[in-house]
Amino acid sequence: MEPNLFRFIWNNSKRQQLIVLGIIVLSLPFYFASLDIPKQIINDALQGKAFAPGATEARFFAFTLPLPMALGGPLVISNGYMLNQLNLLWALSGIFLVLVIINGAFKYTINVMKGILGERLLRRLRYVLLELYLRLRPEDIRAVKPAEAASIVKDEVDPVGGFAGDAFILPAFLGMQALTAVIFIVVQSLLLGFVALSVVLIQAIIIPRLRKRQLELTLQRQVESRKLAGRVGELVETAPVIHIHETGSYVRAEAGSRLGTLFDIRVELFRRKFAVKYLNNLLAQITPFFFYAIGGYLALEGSLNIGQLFAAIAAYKDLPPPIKELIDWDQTRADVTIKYQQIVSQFPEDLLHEEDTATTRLQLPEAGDSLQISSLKAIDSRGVTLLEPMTVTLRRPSHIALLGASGGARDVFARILGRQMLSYQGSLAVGSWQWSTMGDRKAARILAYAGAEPLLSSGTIRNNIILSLRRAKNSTEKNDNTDKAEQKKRLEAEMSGNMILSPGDDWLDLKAAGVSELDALDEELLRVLHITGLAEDVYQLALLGRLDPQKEPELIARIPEARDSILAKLESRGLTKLVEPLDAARFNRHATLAENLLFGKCTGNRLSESNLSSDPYVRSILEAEALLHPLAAIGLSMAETAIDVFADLPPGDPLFERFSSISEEAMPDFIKLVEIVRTRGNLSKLSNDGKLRLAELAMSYLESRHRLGLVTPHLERRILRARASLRQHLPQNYASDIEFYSHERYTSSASIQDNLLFGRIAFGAAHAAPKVREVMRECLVELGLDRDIRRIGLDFEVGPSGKFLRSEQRAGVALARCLLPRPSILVIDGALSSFSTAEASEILARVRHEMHEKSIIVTQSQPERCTDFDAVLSFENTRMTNIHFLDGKDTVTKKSGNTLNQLHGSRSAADMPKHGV
Amino acid sequence: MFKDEIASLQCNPMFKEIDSAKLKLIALTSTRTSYTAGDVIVSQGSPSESVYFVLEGTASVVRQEEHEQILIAELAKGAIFGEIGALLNRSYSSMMVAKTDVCVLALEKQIFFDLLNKVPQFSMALMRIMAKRVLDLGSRYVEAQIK
Repeated sequence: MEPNLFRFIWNNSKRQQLIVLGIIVLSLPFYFASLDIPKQIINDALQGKAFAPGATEARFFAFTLPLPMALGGPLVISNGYMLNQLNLLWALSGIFLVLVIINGAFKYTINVMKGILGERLLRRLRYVLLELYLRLRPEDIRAVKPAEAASIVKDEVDPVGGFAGDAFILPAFLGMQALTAVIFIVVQSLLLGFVALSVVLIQAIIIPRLRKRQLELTLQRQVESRKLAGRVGELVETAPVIHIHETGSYVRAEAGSRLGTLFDIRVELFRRKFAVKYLNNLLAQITPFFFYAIGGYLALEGSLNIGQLFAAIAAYKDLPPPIKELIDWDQTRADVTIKYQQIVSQFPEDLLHEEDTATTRLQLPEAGDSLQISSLKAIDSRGVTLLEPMTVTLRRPSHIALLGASGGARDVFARILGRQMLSYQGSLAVGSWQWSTMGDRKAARILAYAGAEPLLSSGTIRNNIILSLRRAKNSTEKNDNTDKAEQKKRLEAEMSGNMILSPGDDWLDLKAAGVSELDALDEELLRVLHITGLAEDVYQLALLGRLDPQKEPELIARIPEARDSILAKLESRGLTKLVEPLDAARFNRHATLAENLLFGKCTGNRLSESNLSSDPYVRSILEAEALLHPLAAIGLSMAETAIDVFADLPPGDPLFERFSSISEEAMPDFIKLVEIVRTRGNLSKLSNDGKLRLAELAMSYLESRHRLGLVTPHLERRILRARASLRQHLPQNYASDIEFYSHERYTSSASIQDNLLFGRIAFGAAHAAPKVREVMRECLVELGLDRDIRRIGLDFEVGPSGKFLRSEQRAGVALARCLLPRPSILVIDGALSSFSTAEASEILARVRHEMHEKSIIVTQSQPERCTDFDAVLSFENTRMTNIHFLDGKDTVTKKSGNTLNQLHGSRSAADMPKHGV
Repeated sequence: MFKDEIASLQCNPMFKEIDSAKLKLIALTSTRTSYTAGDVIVSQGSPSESVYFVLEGTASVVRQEEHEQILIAELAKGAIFGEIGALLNRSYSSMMVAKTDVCVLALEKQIFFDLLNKVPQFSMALMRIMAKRVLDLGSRYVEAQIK
């Protein structure tokens, strides 16, 4: 990254800077003229100096080009117009107005261009920073605190971008403006010009010196703010630990100390800032004193006319702002330069790995090329040895186990093999491809790494898995897009140095997944998910998903057939009681109160659970059925329970998010409502709004889930009456807000499961869900709908960092992502730790089957799980101690204490420099 | 219903020291399920997905060894089952069968871990239960040796 800010700005915006500078130069004659016109108005129009003695008219707008005699002498362009004194005043005032408009237009144009220029630079800078973060070595990016990185890219570069537009243009614009004003004053009076110039020089020399300390403080503030951002991020992440160990007070004290440091810096900054401002204002106010005193004296003496004095004062009025702004610019320059240097210093060249951006076809290493590991050694940044030198040749294809304790050399070696650690010594290569230098492009073609931490992003399961295929940068060649808006977008991206490809382009390397068209990709995704043990989970998620009538009309058309088949099979197996049907005449204890009231699904926000009781129409129905009070009472019980149970949990706690019927933001309101009811002793004394709020909460009540025993048969009957009224009197304009359940047609707002069963699986009945789902699956398979339904599960949103999934589901998705591009080497480094031992063994067996005739390297901690690998490399502490071959040829690098030696009775040998597998 | 569940959990002396709010948290984050006598609640060898608390009735813990079924324990109101499989991330080593009509609370494994992390009283109760079990096993071992 270019270390010099000005060079960075100039190199990336030269052309635009020059264009804006050209416009500034063009604007100056108009600016000069706008200063001169007031003088003409006073002298020529008001004092009548334009009029010859006795004349009533003067020539206006006469313009002659003063050519030399050799070129034919002065050239008259316009003879002008003869105007009387009043008309001359109107004409000159009119010109002044026109000039004001022209100058304003220039300013507008310059500001807009400057703004765009600055935004482009900011976009480029943010892009460059993101690119640099991506280029950091894996072991270094792990050390970066996410909150700090976000703070740098989002906030800290903001002033740099803002300054980019001003870096060259502002000093040029203001400098020329100030110079014009000074020259103008000098032309009017040398003495006044000297006074103006002196004030300018004092401001330009003294103030920057005073601001030096201000800059140091700004830098300190930046560093401290960044630390604070990082610490806040850590606090949020480690909040559960803080609660467990009751270290809240210490953490608060530490946070208070950091905030105190920031406060002290800011106080000193304010003191300095306003001291400088005071001096600036003083100088600005003293100068007019000299102008009035000296200028007035000169006018009285007769060496300066009133018009000149007035014009000089008017010009001086325009002088301080540019000077002040110039000084401010200098301050910003110094400030921003420091910030920029600070940011650049985060990315020393030696921490960055080169990106292979070539698009040429890669010549992959031969399938049989071995993994050559020679004198491989790893030390950490403090010089502590993590992995002692090891030399070994790993044949390909082969299945290899790395045996050892977690957290030792075994993991270091696995991370190096998976290119999660590039700062090692020695060599690791396949053919001519060196692990540390081959770059992501080559690595992704042969290698995949599944670590213990499944890293998922917001989006669907599908998007998280196909991420490993999003590498086909083939869109540029076929970009013949004629859409103007798209072209403009791409041009703007190009001008900001961003990638011109859009995320909407075709990025998928389908060939890597072994499919030729997009339609076949889902099948492949389901296949790899089956390998990673997620087939059942995806099926269940699919059943909870919805079908889009626009996209899936054929599938929807077959749902009634599937429903009949499922209900028939449930009946034949005596499982009907496990599903409570959706019946317009019956209350369903496995549906929420809102669902029972509507007997349908809302299609928008108007009748959503949170708006239902406050909707005027629904409220009128509830009031008519006298349901508002009982619903508020249910809401009150729910609120009391939620407050009792969740009040102690920290913000963002997953238990809170999953089980609390009250959101984190709404909790304080409900605490207040419960307090009011307790104080007044009766719910009926609560305001109507309060009752509505509680009734709104009650809408999500599900008796079989919440089990507070609040739904009585009497209440059920009243809700059924309200249901009937609601449907019967539904206003026309509500028709599109609700989709009533109907046995005859598909309810697109309801889940696939609801539609397939037209009922709810009974909560609390033994093995109800697995039994019913098994029947559903059988029927769907019989009807050939199974695959289509499973596909819908791929659309499940996993949430930020995959938090809507369980840990083993996250691990399964991450592993599926690794399998999808069919790597020839797969490193599994603790990726199965979320699964139970039995599940992990089953998954590993399937993965190994998938990797048949390819290489797989798996970390293991139990010798009995390594028995059928082609080779087992054993590690102890920081060393590889033994290599065991399936064919019995062992090499041992340590004489004792090796579990495999005991297990396989392998040969003992002295330290051997090289091993071959 | 909810209140009954809290009362049932409190039948286990180990849970007596847990605040009622925390017991409510356990109940609220669990699923209540009913089984009739003879129903298999948990199969031996199936992946450990949940931890169970008996609310009503009696359940038998049985281990299938070759062709023989060995009764390991009988669980009454307030008893816990499946915690070892969850902690060791292993499949259930025995099965749980409803001896009478049984009602249980099933707590998902992940939530069980969350609660262990967040409710120290719950972790302590569990440790006490396991310590008592170790002690009982020791006594039974000694008795068996003497016999």
